[in-house]
Amino acid sequence: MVGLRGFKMKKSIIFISILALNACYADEALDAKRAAWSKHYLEQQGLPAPDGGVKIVSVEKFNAREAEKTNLMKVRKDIKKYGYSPRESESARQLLALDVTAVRDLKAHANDLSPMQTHLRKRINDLRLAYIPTLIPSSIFDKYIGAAPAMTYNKEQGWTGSVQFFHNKSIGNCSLTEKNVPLNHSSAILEKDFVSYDVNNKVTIVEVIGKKTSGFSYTVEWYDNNFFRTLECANENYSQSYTTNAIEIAKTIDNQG
Amino acid sequence: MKKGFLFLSILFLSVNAHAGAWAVTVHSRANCAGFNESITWHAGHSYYWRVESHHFPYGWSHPAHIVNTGKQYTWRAAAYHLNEAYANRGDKWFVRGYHFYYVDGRQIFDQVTEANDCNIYDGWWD
Repeated sequence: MVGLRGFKMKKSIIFISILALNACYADEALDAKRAAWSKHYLEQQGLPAPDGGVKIVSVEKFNAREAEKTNLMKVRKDIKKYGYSPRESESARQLLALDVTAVRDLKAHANDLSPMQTHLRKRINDLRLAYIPTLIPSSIFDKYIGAAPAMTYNKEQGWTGSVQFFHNKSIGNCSLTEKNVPLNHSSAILEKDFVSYDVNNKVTIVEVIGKKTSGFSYTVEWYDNNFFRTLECANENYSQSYTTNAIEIAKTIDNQG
Repeated sequence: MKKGFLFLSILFLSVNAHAGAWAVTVHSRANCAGFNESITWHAGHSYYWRVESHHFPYGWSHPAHIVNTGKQYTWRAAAYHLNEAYANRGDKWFVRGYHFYYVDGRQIFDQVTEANDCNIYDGWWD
């Protein structure tokens, strides 16, 4: 009798396990259908869609209103003429103020060790990240300021992006923002006249924006299958040599892996 | 069942501002005492963003509707639908958020986020 009861119990356990497995696969199947529907919907709009890679298109095919396209062409023209787009740069303003704001944030949140908080930490390795971050080589910075998370926090894994701040003596305060492409399912559509291949033959965009009243931000963005990275450096003045320096910094960072 | 897709552009400022402190953070949440939402934000830093929040009722493979912020220059782009999802009455919506970023010559799809609950685990409260 005990043997028969044991056998019936085993059958129940197996039956329940099969039911649970079926439910699990049903959830995954439903989730896949949802993801496919939404992706198709976005693609139909001509928008960058999840896992869509990096596409380069002409301004005629760029999905933007005519006024925006006209503005794009003006920005390009200004960059060709001046080397930068003459307008206020909030990024430059914030990077130039980093010496004050970073110290304040590090001090205020020194004891907040929750992996989910978004304030500044002293080191990139203090963050709980869902990927292996790029370490900024010591040859690039004379002062490492701090790091903070970006994008979203995946349960049980960690953050899917990060930002690191440092000072480079050839230009000034800089930030490197890194977004993990596979985790974020990122993609991009770029207008071809903005695109170069300056950073190790990867699709690159270099843009300088600024005025004397805000300072100048030197931005280098580069894209590969693993990361979308943005280097931004700030200086109170404009100089072509700063643009060149920013590109060299980006190349060195990219060579880290 | 008649399929209908309602496109809403809703901006809603919550009383408490929670956002990425030093960089952009993106989130979705579902069945939160009445609302479903997806949000992109960075405290005090404005960018051109657009957020689409796709809201799926329980068991559906397509959304019942999509909340779209439209492209806007802001520090907080929230695609928010109020009075839709109450956990205490057993609502089980699923939310997928699509977060877009626009800057000169670039249209970037930053991230997809998803949620089936309102649990705060992704820096939301910071």
